[in-house]
Amino acid sequence: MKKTLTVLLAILLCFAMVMIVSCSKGDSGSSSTSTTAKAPAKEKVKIQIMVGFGTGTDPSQIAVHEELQKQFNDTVGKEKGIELEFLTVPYADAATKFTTLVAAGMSPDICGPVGIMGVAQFIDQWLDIEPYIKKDNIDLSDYDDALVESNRYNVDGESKLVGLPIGYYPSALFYNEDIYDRAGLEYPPEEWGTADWTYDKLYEQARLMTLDMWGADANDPDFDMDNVVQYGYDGTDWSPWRAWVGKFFDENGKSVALGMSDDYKTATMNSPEWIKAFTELERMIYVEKVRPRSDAAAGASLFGDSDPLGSNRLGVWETFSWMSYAFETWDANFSWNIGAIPSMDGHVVSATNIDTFVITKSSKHPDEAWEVYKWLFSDEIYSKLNHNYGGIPAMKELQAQWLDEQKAERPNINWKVLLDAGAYADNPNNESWVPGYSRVWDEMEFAMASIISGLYDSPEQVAEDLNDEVQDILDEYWAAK
Amino acid sequence: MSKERRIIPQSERYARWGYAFITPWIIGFLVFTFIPMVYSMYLAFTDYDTINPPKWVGFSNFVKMFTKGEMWHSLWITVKFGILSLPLGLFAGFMLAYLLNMKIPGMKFWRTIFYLPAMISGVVVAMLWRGMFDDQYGMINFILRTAGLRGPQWLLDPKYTLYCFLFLSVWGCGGGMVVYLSGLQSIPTALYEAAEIDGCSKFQQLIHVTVPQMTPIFFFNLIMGLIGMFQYFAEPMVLTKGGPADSTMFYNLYLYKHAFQFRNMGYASALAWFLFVIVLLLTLLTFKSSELWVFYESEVKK
Repeated sequence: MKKTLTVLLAILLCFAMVMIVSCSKGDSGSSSTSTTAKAPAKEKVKIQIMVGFGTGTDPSQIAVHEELQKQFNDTVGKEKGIELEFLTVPYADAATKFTTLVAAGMSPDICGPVGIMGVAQFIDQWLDIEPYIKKDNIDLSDYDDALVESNRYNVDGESKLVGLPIGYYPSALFYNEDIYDRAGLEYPPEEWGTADWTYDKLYEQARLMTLDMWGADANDPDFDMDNVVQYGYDGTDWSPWRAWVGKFFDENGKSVALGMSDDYKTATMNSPEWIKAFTELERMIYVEKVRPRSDAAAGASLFGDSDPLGSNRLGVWETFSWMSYAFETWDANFSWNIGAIPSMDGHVVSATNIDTFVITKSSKHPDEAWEVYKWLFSDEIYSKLNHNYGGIPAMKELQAQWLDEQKAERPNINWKVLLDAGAYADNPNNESWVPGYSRVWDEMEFAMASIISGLYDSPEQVAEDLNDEVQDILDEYWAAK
Repeated sequence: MSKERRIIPQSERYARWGYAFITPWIIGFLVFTFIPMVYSMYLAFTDYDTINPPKWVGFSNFVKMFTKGEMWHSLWITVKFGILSLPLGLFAGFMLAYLLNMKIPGMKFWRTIFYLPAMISGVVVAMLWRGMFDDQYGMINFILRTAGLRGPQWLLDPKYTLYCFLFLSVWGCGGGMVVYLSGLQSIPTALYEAAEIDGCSKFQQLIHVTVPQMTPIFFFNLIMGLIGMFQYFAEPMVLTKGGPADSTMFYNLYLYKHAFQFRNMGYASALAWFLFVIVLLLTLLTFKSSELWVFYESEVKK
């Protein structure tokens, strides 16, 4: 009896081990099609594009991908012996799916569209495409230079260009004209860099639009900040804290958004500029009382989950243009428009998100992946992709057409504000890579949340604590190198 | 030479069939639980980002875990929640069962109603309560306002966030209630009759008959509650994601953050094993203490 049990368990254990071994690393997956040595020479190489790190997962967008897949496979693919496949995964699962595929030796060949944050999280997984660009003489002057450079990284002393920009999403002021009208205020200017358009001026407007449940505005001495029913201003909550810090510049005229030295070894988040950024946030919430104490992502707020302006209880929302999915709701409920971001200490900065496609280092067919990449960035396909994702095209010659299309759809909106924002894009970008990326991000969000939720002693202390934590992360990162 | 066939005893034949039938489960257990568990023990001593191969780092994950305040903070949040929610949940579940064991009209309806929350998934419960806790439009603050009181910002003010989860936990006490109810119904009526003849009031019957008879059920619910408390995840993940300012960073959320957000699987594995040790010790301690307060009908106390 005992013997039978032992034998049975041994068989089961062996079976389990075989299962695990067969599911783990090895030359499986996409390689199987190409590495079958006995296969005919003309067997196609399969190139997989993983979609899910950003936009591109809506059914209508998937349909466009399928159409492009067919188009490629019927034309270029047939000619070059490449079979293209789009693999779409939900945004929430993308990172886990990607790491699993790479760990299992089944890496996708291309990922995208992916924002700078997605690129930064897996910075060591992307191929440097600069050699391919040089080999094929790709003209980078077709794109806005700043947008190309946003995909260039200097990681551990190695400089690489990981992708070309497909589209960008600047931030601007999206405002509710009805609330402005009720408060008797002038709308924010359409021109960027207007001399007297400062955050002080914006606060002044926002105080008049912030109302408590008894109708008093934020200028009223009896204003009840615990029972606010309409706010004047909300910031870029969904972006990292650096989207706000990027508005502050050091004495050399350089934005302090990075929060660390250029060699990424010393944290500088307790610098006077960072303390000023925290103090300014404190001012907005507790002194001017114009900004909600919650952030949109925390839910259970006055504004619901993901669209504060859509609540029709917010005067101005400084946010990115990728939230165009909410335009229809706004159209149905109130009049709205777009204005320029004001200046902070004389500097005007529009935090910007930029999408790209990247080739994975672990792709077994980088040359074929590059052929697909080139096809994606050819004029006709680029335009289709860009339409699909709703960004402003980074390819300059398509920008005028984009503007015309937007105007045709919503003639009363100041679309040019978004196009002109490119000249004020943040540098370094708010999502750009730093060592220990996710942990540094988390620490920054914690510091920001401490002030928003009132759990802090002083902005100086918040900055000091943050700096200590981030320095620990940097030390750990470099010690492991 | 003829081979003599061995006669297999019936019990062994039955056992073989038994093993054959549970083989799928054993395979599942080995592949999806046992082997990953053993592997996670190894990972706890490595630096593993889920893409590159694990790098052996010895005890450094454990050193980091014990020296960093974050882990202790999340453990304290979990324990604080448990200290409040466990007794409250046990008491609420028992009292509900006690009331529903009485002969009142529409009993089946009430039992169903009170058991419903236990049938709903944690995520749905959290979404529902998110609306209830809304500081402007939520039901709770509406009731408080009607009574002339000012409701707080439940999910945004770190002073109150943990208490929101207490509401949720008590609201879901229907699961325990069903177990209590079955326990209550298995108490021999002869005991109540005897107590009544001896002149016991209803309250005395509750204290001297019902409660001692129910101690095995209390014990079972306590163990399950204890384990559930350290596994608390779905509700805070949906409602607050550990915020505001880490005020609801339960241990499991902290573990999840390191495993899947930071891809720091080695450190997360160390956290998981420490959690396992805590739960094991507390369970053993509860079992040990049960000798003092749990009464089994067939047992004769010395």
